[in-house]
Amino acid sequence: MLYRVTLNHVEHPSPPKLEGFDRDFTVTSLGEQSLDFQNVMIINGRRTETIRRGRQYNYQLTPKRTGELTIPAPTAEVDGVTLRGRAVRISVEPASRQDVVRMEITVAPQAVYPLQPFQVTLSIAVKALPGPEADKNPLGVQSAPPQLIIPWANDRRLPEGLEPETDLDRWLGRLVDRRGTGFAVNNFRQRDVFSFFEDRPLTFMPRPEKIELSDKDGKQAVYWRYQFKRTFTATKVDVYTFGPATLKGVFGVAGDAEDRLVGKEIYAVAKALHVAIKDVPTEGRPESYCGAIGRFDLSAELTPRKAKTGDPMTLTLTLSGQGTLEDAVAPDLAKIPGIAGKFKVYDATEQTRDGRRQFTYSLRPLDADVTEFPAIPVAYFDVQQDRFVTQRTPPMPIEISRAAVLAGRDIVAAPGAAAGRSQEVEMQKGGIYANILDPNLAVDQGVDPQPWLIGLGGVTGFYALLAFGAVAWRRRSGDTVRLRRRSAPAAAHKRLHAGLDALQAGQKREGIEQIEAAVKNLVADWIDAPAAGMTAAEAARHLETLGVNGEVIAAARRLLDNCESVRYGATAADLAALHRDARPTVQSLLKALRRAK
Amino acid sequence: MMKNVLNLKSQISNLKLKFAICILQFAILFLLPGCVRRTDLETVHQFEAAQKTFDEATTPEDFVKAAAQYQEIADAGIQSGAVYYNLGNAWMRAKQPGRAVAAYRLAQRYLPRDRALEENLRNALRRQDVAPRESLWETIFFWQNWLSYPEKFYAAAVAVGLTFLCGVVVLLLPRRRVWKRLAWVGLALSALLIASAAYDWYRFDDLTHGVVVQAEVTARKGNAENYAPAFNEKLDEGTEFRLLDRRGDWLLIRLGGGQEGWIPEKTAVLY
Repeated sequence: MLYRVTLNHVEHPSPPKLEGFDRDFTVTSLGEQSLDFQNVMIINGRRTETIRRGRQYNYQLTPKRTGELTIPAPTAEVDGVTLRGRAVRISVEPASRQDVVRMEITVAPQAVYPLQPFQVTLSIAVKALPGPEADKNPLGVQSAPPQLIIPWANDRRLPEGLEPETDLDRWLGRLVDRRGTGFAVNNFRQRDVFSFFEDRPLTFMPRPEKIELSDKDGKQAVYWRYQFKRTFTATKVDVYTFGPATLKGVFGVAGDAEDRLVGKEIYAVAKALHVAIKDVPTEGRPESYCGAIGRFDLSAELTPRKAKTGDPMTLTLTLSGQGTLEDAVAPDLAKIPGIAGKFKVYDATEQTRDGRRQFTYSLRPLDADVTEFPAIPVAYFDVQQDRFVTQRTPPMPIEISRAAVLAGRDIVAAPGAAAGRSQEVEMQKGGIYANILDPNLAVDQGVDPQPWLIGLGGVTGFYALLAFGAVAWRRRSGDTVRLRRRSAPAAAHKRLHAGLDALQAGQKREGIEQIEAAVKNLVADWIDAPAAGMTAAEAARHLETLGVNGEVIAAARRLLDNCESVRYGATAADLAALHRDARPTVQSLLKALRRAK
Repeated sequence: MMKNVLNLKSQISNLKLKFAICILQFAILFLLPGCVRRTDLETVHQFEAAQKTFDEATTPEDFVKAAAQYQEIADAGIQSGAVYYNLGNAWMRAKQPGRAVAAYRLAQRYLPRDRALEENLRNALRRQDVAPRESLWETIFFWQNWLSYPEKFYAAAVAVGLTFLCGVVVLLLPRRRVWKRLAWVGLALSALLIASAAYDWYRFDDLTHGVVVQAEVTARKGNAENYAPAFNEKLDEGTEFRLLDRRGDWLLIRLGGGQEGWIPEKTAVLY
């Protein structure tokens, strides 16, 4: 029966709850569809908008018993409000005892291991047509094909862990009858399953064979038998139910007075059958059994092969092949002699991808004397051989050297140390996923480029300023006139001191010459003129040109004249006067020159 | 007079030396902003509390709580390799390797030579090769994934500072050719290191990266569920990508191989 629950005027509803349905019915979902609709019409400028919101859920109900049955009211939650539909009473008539169609589901074998294939067969025996039509296929005479429901002929609704050998298209596709005779299975329409152009029920016609069965009167009768066979494998230990399968249609049962076939509507049911998927035997199960069932190859990879005690190593075990791998667990390496006590082993990570199961272990060698990583046994159950098979990885040569510092059994170079902040080796709790424990390392290391850019710009700008200043400096340094003038005061002071010291020491000639040179050279240096041969008059004239105060010029000239006169006959009083006047005269001259420039 | 000029030059040389030292000090002040940073007390307390939660955790849910505490420190602006590393460990223990990959990648920016981090990242990615995705720039700048993000800035600053010093010496002693050559070498090195730091800034701060955090995520050709899948295979948890665009709750991503597709935002973390 098709059972439809429609939720109108709601948005985003949750699927309805069909509580109590399973008491009398087997419920199969047939999908859902949106009823959202929006239409805008403008007629003579008047706008009319129609909006409909809703969702429809379709189910197939199969009664489990005959009699007066009640389909309970469905409920649905919409925006926190519980909506309730109405209950429906129906009358289920018992199937009349008939011998026209006989259906049966068989499974072989009925108990298998995971991954061991088993075949489910739906046999439909249809009584041969009466009279002259007896040699005709009883399925070739209907105006409408009989409706056959095969629950396992829908891959999307197969229970979890049940894998068909071939998919639905390939299994049923080869049974399609293009003339439209045969069984209409699961109401498959051409657009639903196969991409054909016509839109009518697909019919399937397995190759029939004639057999003899007893009819309801106990007499042998000829039947045409049609068989739908499908092979499955189960990937987990469970009990799977196949069926019931139902058939409803009109079949030819007799001929009328003119030998024309008379049809009768027949409803037949094949009882459900259960298949038990057994767990692998406990007897003889090796300790290294990992839970994998099938047939596999084992490989191992260890990196690095050279390490120091305490260094992390990564071991990857890979199981690849055909079989169930999802439940396979990582072998306990700590139990393997040769690993226990010589390696610290951390919990493995497990991953299944592309039919391969990978176990990744983190290890740390504890013993520098180990030269070989031992073979690792991994056992699986081979269903074809019906026994456990143990595979071993080859032993891997490794080089372990002693670490410089060992602290306890787990020694990890702290990330901070690796980053250069500390050279200490520190122990961390827990192994490979050990945390950094030093809270001082929780310092903000983030980079804000802005201050760095400002710094870079500042340095560049500052360098440009320096370069500009240096060029100016260099240009000025190349001015010999300026250089000479700048050096003049120091030179004048030096000569003056030398002259005064000479006079003090009684070296009259030397002292007079130094004092005279102090004044003349000062003037000459200031105007970049030769000092040699400069007379007192010339010096005075140059000073006048520079705009030096007249009193200072007079004093300077007086000093030079005194020098000239005492050179040829000086009294002690003259020398004393020269000694007294020389320093203030030179100093006042310097001041005047600086002021004059 | 010649003697005076020589004396004067000697004085000038002394002045130049003092001047150069002053300028170097100035350059260092300019170029090393915020080199010395200290952990604040609040962060220390948060860090210790997160570690306590981590140590006491026994179930994945407990480790999620520890991860949330480390994330809180990061959200407060503490971009620390240690915090991101511990965050990654917490996510791994919480059996969420996708989020762990994101945290480890962030940690790698600050702890690029850390072997334990590399091992953990390898475990999270479940593959041997965990080197950051390498571009042409990273091939040219061979040190790019060896120096940490801040170290590149420090290295560039030191190079610029030394180049500046050489440049100053060249200004003061123009006839010393050695200094001029050193200045040119320093200038080239500075340019490379500045470009390297700028590239890090581009790839870390300008680009947005992400990791798929759910199993078997279907990337689509458009930003809605009704678009066809973009790839034949679904994306595994831990798949890394670069964010190209975002529309509503959908992200346009580019995988390492250059393939592009749209995934729902809730299936990934961005960083």
